[in-house]
Amino acid sequence: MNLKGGIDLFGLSPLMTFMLFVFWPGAIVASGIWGALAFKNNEEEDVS
Amino acid sequence: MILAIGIIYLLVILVIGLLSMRHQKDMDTFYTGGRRFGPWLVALAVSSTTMSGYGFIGLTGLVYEHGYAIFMIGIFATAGIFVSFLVLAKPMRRITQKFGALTIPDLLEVRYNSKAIRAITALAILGGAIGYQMAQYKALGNMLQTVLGVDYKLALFIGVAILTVYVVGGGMISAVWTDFIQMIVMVAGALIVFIGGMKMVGGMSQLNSELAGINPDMVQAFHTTGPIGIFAFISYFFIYVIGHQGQPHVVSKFYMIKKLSMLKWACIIAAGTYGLTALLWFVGLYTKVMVNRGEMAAPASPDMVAPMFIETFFPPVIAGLIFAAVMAAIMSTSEAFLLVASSSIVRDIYQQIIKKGEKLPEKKELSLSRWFTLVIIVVTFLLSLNPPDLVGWLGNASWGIFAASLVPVLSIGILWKRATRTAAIWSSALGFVFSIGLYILKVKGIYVPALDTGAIAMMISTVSLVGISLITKQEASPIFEKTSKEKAAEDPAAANFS
Repeated sequence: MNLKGGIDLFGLSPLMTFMLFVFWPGAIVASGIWGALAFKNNEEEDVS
Repeated sequence: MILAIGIIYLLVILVIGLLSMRHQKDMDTFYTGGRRFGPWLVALAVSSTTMSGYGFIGLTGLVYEHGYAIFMIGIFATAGIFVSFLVLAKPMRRITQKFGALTIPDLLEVRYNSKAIRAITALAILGGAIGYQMAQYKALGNMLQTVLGVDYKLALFIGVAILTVYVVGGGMISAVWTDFIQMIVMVAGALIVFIGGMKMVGGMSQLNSELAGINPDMVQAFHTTGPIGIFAFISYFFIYVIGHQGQPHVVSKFYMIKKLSMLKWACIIAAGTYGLTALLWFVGLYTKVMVNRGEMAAPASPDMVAPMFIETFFPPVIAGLIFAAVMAAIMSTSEAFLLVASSSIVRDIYQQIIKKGEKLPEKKELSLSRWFTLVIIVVTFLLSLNPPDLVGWLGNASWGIFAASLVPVLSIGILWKRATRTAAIWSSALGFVFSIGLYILKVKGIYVPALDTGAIAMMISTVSLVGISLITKQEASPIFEKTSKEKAAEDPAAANFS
């Protein structure tokens, strides 16, 4: 924790810590969740 | 050893190009690969074309100069891949198949029923593609220069010659298969460099503490002074999260997937592999620390950071593999751009506008596409012999041209029925003119805005699309008309009565 209450890892600023360790992997996880939800029951949508 | 691995890699790519030539029967196969690729092939093609030579070489150089703040480009681009799949993947796959569209201007002509929007977007794609391609060629020349030990111009010639054979010959089939192999090589190379380099500098805390000692801004998400401040952070958000949807070389991959349901896995594979390859940017940080410690000489140019670091600190076998990975990044994006640019000339400008939509014989169209691909290769090669200084900023400007000219008309246009033809024409034209005009003013030092020029142009084109649409009369568009099958799926009872 730093003085302003942000979490800072490995000497990075709190915002950089958030972007690198939360936002970035979060975007990848969100991609997986979207895929799983968006195509849950619509195999019949295939047009080819 | 480095040379041997480099040559083996280039030969493998060449063989794929030659084998793919046999499958080229028509235009659909040349530009979309016949829409028969599975999730892995499409996903790795999306991520490998997003991570370009500009990404691997140019951004590593910018990370060396400015530190972690440049990582925002990759972090936002990963989110951009997700947003592009979310917004565009399903509708683009459906619309392009339903209306037989092969290119983005094809799709936009159908959406807005306008040849003018086709012409403007085709020109924007061509303009952006040439700028982006120059960034790729400069990176290719810098890389092969180190691997082959020859001068920049000869290195560039050798790289471009190989690219010519497999793109002109093999078209999209060869491009997607080589993307697949290239992405595997890129992920392996990035992981080796990330882990090996981190051990070398003594771990992440040590790395960051030394970087902060050189300049405290190096460990910040944006700098307190200089060009990479809060406005750069905001600009990167707009250009890379939202602007990703306007990158024709990337989103054109959406209509190549065999089945819609295969998109389920393609998104996470694309975002995940792109994120892994971005770990190579740590090379910029490692180099900064190693130079500061006096363990390596300062690179002559930021674009030489990656080649120099790899050659200095890794054994030849590993260095050869990493060099192959970087060449893969450059070539995979180049091939996608060449196909996008040649389709803009042949299909969108020559056939649809000059020949007024006259149907050309399939063989003639295919042969014209190959010739124009060759012309673009030669023109860009000549322009790249004396390129601008930094690959990173050139790539960034071209990304901005695509974002400003295409994102509003494509993404808003596909989702919002109210978007009108007049608004689309103004939006795309203003986006194109402002993205190029503001970039030139910035380079010349006449007007240097706080926000990135591409981000400003994208805001102008978005506001004009929405604003002009609201004051002009709404028009019908075939893409929003449902087929009887779709109506039946929504309301079987109503369909039975009709």
